[in-house]
Amino acid sequence: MNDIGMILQSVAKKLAGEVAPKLEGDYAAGHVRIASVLMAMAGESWDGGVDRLHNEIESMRELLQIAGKEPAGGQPQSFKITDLRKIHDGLSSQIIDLQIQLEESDKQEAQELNTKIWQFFLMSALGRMPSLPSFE
Amino acid sequence: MPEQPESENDLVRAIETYLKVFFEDAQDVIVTELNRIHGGASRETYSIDIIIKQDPGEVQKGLILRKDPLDSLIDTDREVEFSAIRSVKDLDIPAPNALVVESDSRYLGSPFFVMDRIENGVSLNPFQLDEVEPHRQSIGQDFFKYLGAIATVEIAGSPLANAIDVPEEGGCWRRELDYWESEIDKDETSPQPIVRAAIRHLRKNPPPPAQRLSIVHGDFRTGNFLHDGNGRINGILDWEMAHIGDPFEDLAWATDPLWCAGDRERAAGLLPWQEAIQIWQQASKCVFNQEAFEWWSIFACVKALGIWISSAKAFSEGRNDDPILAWSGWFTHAAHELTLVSKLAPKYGLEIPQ
Repeated sequence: MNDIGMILQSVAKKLAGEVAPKLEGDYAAGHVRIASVLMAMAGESWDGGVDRLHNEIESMRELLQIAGKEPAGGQPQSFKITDLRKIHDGLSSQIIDLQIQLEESDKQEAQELNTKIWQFFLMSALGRMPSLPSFE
Repeated sequence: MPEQPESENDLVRAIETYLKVFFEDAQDVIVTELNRIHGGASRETYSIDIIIKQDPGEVQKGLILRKDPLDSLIDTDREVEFSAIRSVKDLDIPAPNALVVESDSRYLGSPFFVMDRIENGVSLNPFQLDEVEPHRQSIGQDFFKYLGAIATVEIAGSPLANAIDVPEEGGCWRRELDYWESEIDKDETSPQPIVRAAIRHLRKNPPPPAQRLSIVHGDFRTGNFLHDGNGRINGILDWEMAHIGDPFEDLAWATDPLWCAGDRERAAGLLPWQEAIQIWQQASKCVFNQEAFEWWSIFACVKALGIWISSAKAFSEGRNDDPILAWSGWFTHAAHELTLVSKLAPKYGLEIPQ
């Protein structure tokens, strides 16, 4: 059995639907409810987590290259999330620095590249937004 | 380091001992019920029933104990919360009656304060706002009336003004932005390009000076008030982020999309915008200003992200293992980043379909 996302979502449903109600009135019920929501969110993000990080890394590299900057980090050692995140963090710092430069410039090309960065922010923020589980 | 009560029984005994001294006429104080309330990650919050034995007879009383945890979502001084509640005591604002604040940790293991419990109060989950029906309109009217009323409290000589600094009208925004940026500087565990861009935008485009200095509740929103089940708000809670500043800060925070599950049609998910603003203007005696509101709305996202970033760090370092901090560091963080981008990206040339 290797569908980790499904397992997490299924256990989350069990916690929310069967365990939490039995603890009603106890402080622990709140913990169980939140834990079930977190578990469902983890289940949802399981399948796409690496893909999302990889796409964000590629997008940031592209933005930096348009600006003539050398993207930091090189190729990841693996597709482990921890390795990808290290590269992602390095590129994010470069994007912050790049955007500061662009904001100081009156040139149209700088403003256009800044708009592309905001487009990247929008796409990444949409991609990171979890659904709110309903357990129905 | 003062010892934390090891068990609930130890805490009960410690509370009884403390309250017996506090209630001067009491011959004895007995705690008959103690329940920790979930969700107050900035303080450990307990609902307590006590019997005060005195001569003659006895009195039953419901109390709320707010005790500092080892770590919290928000770094605040309980003196501030206590002073803020005291500042609105004699006004038509349903704040709890604050009884005692204790900064000495030797009694309960950490500082705390105690207030009267608001009886028959129902809380409202911002993510299940439809539960407010059929009282959405009357509760919405109370919500914006009390929000405005807080802005009219006389600051000079108020307990809150004696407890914290009072900014200049033109400097409220900078003080708040500096503070929340410093929290992000301190607690971010990975680079945060979106909130950094927002902070730069806010600094380059400051708001107009505050129309007046007022008490700012700091966390006035759905989820932080109680209602009586019959359409009236009977408790305004969670004053721990109270300070003195611009009334638009509270209006923007109260109407942030997170607290109303993204309802765009109604302010705070409660009232049509025009009606809400009209009630707020009347109660606050402020004139609505779109520029100020927009600045403080973007700031609300920055402040929220400051809180979520700090909560994620506390959770990941194991300083506070309450799962609500993980939720805050994940879901609400993502929600506020998305809100920020939606507000700011069009200002930088990106068209976002509505």
